Amino acid sequence: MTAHLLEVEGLKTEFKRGDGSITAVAGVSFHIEKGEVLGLVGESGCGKSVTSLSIMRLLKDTPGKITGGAVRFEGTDLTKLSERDMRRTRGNDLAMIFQEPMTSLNPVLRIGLQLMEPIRLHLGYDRKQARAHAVHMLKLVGIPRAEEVVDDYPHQLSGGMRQRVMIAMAMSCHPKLLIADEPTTALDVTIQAQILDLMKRLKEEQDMGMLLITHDLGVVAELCDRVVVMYAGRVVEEASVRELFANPQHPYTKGLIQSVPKLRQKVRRLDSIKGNVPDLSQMPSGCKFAPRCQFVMDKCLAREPDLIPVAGASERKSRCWLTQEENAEGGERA
Amino acid sequence: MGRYALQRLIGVIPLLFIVSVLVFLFIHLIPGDPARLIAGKEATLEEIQGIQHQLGLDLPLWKQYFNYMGDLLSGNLGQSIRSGLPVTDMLASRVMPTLWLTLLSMAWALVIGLFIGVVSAVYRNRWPDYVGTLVAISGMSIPGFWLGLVLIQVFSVQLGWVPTGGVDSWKSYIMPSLTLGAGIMSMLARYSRSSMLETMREDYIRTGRAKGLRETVVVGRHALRNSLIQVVTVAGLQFGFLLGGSVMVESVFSIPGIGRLLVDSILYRDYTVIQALLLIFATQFILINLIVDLLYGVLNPKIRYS
Repeated sequence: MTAHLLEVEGLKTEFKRGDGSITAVAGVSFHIEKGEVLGLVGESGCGKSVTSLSIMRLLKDTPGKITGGAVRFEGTDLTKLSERDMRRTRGNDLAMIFQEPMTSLNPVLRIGLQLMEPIRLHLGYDRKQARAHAVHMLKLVGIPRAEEVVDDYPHQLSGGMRQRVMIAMAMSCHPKLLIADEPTTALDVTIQAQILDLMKRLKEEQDMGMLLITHDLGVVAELCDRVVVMYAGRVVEEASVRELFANPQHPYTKGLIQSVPKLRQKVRRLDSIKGNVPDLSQMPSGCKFAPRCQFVMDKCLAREPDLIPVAGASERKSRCWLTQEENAEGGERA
Repeated sequence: MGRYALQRLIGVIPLLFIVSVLVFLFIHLIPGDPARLIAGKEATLEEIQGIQHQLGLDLPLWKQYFNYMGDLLSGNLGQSIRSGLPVTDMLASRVMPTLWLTLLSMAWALVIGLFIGVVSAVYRNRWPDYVGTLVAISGMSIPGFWLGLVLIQVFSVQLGWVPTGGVDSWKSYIMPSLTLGAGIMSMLARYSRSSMLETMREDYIRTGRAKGLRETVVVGRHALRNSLIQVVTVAGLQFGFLLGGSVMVESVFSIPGIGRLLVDSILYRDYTVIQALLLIFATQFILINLIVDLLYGVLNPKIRYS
């Protein structure tokens, strides 16, 4: 069996707070194949971003620390790499773009210099070659006047243009996996569509795997092959995009999908999931979603269900007692 | 950048004008009549009026100002009331020691202060940070005159490595500039530490790491330059205060600079010299601010291009 492009297994990340610690990511597992786009979906504070930063090992300067599990990239466990080897992977085979294009570029350095940094570092180009490659990348992401923009400073570009620069930067060393943490959230809706189209095109051209972190199910439907839904630092459902929208298993996923306004439907009020994401330091003991769940049963409050495969579907998992019951009923009938 | 620099330069002109007016008025604002002072206690009214006429003090104020400016632009700062020597001659030999002293103090304070600040920020809450904090707080709390005396006692009197005072060789500048720069070094260390800590939390620092850059490159290329914008402001302000400090340090180390000249001139009410020194101090302050503004432009493209 060949290794997955990325395999996250039982990843656990904790944050120190005062005397104790808080578990932001509690044993998350998923995998991405070559050329596949996996969506990581959930509300703010569910651990999506921490998961991505843990994969990149960019938790320095935060109180966070990976305390368990493995992150295998082409079979190599990144959590066990030396800092030096990790640096060789970052920006090279494994690249990342962030949510805030306005602040993710250094305001006092020219665009060209910032673009050339990873190119010179990982591809070993000299200054002239690197500059040519930087211009090429800017053109690739659809920036007009690329030859002039390389000499511009970030404040001379709009948010959409800056995100294109960030994408150009991330793609410049032909990564095998791109982690995109809410890449369109901070942008105008029209610009969002352009950036998504761009990412889709580049992904297909370069046959690159992608981990797309978002809370926007529209983005998921647009770009992803498979989806992992996270809640309170755990994976609660995993499915292909088609299955997820057609037949969501977990009550949380159902709520998420229902809360998206539909075009042909007249509604007075938007549906929403009642309540809030639990505070990480005061987690309910049973199912973490139970306090907000409309199908809650006694069992849910007592014990947390496991993430189990859904019967009759491949690569489909759900963390809900209802799924277990349905599986059992299905089994009896068969 | 050219346009920005030109704007700043032009902006200095009205400031210099205001300074010249205020300094000119100084002689009229002080209690007592300078002519009477020059003539001495025993002088007759005619003698005093003679001196007033000689100095042009009987002319209308605006005419006096024009005369003053004319003299100033042709490099004539008047004569010392006390010694009768031209003020420019008195200043000539005194400017260089003070200039060296302040520049040396600023130079080491900047280099060491920044170094301590950056190291403290990078090793926050670990032992290098604690050592840096200790050095900075000590530098800030030890009074300059006391530090100067202790340095003299240890390195001049007991060890005999450097002279106790004067300006006979470069060695004479070591202890005075250490004394003068200590406070500023500490201030810069604290400011650059907090400024670096703030910068290190910025998103573009994370971007730098995500590219696979070494931590030294992330700190040196991405964080330091952004922090410098804040540090330069503080350094510029502090440089102005160095002039005040030089008065004390020059007295402790017997350096014949303009700081000591100011003290002497005040003691003897040598108003023309005081006037000239006021002009020098004010102009120096304006020039330093100009340099800070220009440095902003160099460091921050947003300022340069808007």
